[in-house]
Amino acid sequence: MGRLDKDRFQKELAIRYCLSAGLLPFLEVLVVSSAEVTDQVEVLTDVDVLGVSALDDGRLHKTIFDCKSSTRMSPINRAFWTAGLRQYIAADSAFVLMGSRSSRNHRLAALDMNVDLHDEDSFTALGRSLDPVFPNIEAYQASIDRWQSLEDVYSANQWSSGLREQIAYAVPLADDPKAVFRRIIASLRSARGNFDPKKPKHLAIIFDVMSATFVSLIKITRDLRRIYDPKMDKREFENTLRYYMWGGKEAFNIRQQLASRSDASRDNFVELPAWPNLVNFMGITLDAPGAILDCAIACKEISLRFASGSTPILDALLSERLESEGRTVQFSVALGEYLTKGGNLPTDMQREIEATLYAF
Amino acid sequence: MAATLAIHIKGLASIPIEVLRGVCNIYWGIPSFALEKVLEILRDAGFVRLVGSPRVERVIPEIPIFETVYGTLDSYAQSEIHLNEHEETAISILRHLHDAPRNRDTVFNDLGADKQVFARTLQIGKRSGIISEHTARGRPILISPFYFTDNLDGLADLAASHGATTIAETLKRVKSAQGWPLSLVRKRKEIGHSSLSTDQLAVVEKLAAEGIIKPPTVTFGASAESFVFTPQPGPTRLNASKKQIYERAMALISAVRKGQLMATRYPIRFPVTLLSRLRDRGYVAANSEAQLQYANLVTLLVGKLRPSGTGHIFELNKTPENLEALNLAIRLLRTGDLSGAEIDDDARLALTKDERYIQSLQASRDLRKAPISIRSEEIEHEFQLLLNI
Repeated sequence: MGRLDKDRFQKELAIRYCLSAGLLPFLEVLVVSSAEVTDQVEVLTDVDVLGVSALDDGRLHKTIFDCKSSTRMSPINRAFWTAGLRQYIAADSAFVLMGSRSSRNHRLAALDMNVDLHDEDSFTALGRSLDPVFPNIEAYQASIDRWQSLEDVYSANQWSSGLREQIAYAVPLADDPKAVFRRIIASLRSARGNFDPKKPKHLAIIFDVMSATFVSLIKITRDLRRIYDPKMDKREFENTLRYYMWGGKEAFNIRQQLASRSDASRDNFVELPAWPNLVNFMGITLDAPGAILDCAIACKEISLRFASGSTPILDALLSERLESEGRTVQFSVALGEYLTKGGNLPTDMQREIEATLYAF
Repeated sequence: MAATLAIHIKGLASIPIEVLRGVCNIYWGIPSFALEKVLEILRDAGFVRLVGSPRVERVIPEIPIFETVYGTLDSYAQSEIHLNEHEETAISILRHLHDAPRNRDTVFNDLGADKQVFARTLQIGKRSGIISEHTARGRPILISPFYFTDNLDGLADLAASHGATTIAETLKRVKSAQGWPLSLVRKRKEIGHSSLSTDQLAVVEKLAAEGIIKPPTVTFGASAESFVFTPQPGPTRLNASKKQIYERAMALISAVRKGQLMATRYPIRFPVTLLSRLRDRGYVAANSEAQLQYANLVTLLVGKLRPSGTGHIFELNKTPENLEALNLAIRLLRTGDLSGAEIDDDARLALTKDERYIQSLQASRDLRKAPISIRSEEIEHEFQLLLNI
């Protein structure tokens, strides 16, 4: 997204709508092919803004926001395109923001495809039904300039490209959140020698990673909560978690066999990094898996804060938010500890994460 | 103190220190100066994070859902906490007294402790209320009020006459078949289909007669029947707020045992299943014996009887207390265990509230204290005159 991108205003409007509706926004999510038949990863298209929230069963509820400020494009044609995209990425609903007004018949026809056709005025009116002050939402995420600042941080730190990829398309569109979780940890470990806890831009990246990790944990924690048996002791919980995180006993055994044949695996036993910490972390989150999305939103706020600089009034709002959400600091500190240990990051990183969260 | 605090904060979100301080003081008598040390222990055991320096401002619980608090704290204490001789002796004594009272001299010989240390530990234990000493049949008997509350003199006498081993074995049998009818115990000389020796039978009789186990007596028409349960545990294991629930649970068990073992026509074959169905459906299907069987439960407001066909349906009053009593009854029938009954739900609720809630709790406690009477000579004189009229 360039600074001169003509759809910037609409994207910002879409982001603010997400914040009003309690969705976590993802900007410019890349859509890749479902099966790779070439050597290079090919991007099919991108979703301008994707709003993510959690359904009761832990699945992600995804809402596409397609922004086209051009007045020359036919809204209903765009609705057809968006409906196809919605089906392809298994999104639940879609909004199309056009530069021009659509006829009511077109809007009704689009609704049959779960696509909501709007121009800027009607979209703003809809946003006000969620929040009377819309679009004047106050949050770090509300300004697209701050999102651009975060993009600039990633561009300036090429070693973080693996992490950026996971966040840009794997996390919001994941079919298998466990695999995404494992890949985030792997990407973190690849980049570990580059993290400097004293640099705010690096803290922006780590909090963005935390936000993305929380998104992948939404379904994981809900699944574990539903299969958790109060009679389980730690050993049983650990076994269950181990097989679950590796996609089942068979998949785990295959990896064990691969590891035992590989010289590269020192212990010849496959385990997620900092396994005891992960077991403990999961054990804590099971008390309130419904709070995970709040953690993702708060960490994203903090990430953009580090990327673009702090503002007293937004800090005050963020502080109020963390105060009212009892679990956010609790879970975020615990995840920060796990990612520091699991990602083999400098131990100072954990202290910086804690200091940031406690300061609010 | 650390274990008590840990089981109550397990699963909660972060707690401001002033709220925690207030709750600890009101519910568990943990003073502020002790709270600091307790939190340090919990932090070192990995159960909490302490936020704020130099003064702690909030406490973030970090106890995973599968964590056995007691087990972990026990391991931590064994490896990290260096107890002095008196503390170790106190814990060993309590371990000996867990399942039955014991002769003081037997405990002393088993421990192999220094005589002076043992005597001093007993003295401190008696002063603090964790150990009590009784003389029975010329023998000094130790009992811990942690584990037994009722008629400790009678219990001491029983220990002196029959020995700790017999009492422990008998109580184990009672625990495995809670709520067995006393008349059946006498007649068949068994509890839960396992036979009792003459000594054990005598112990059961005495436990009931002396009010040590206080078997609930239920009237069924013209007859009355008592049901045998393990002695009620002390306040550290059965929270005071849960006593009424425990009594309702005993009443529920008594009712189904009557139906299981003393039915007129159709005995209950699976009492646990029946209680589970009562919890899930909210009623027990009509039968001709329901009126007799569940009358006591109606008195305790656990449920009500509704005529239906040739009998009555017993309908549960679905209050949180009755549901908790039902769950406890099912657990007691399955395992005989009272685990979890030491948790004070009011304290847990208070930990999730703010300072104003704690202040109102403290204020209501202060109001319940006896009022200070204001005396003046003149008023007293007038009062005396009034009395003499």
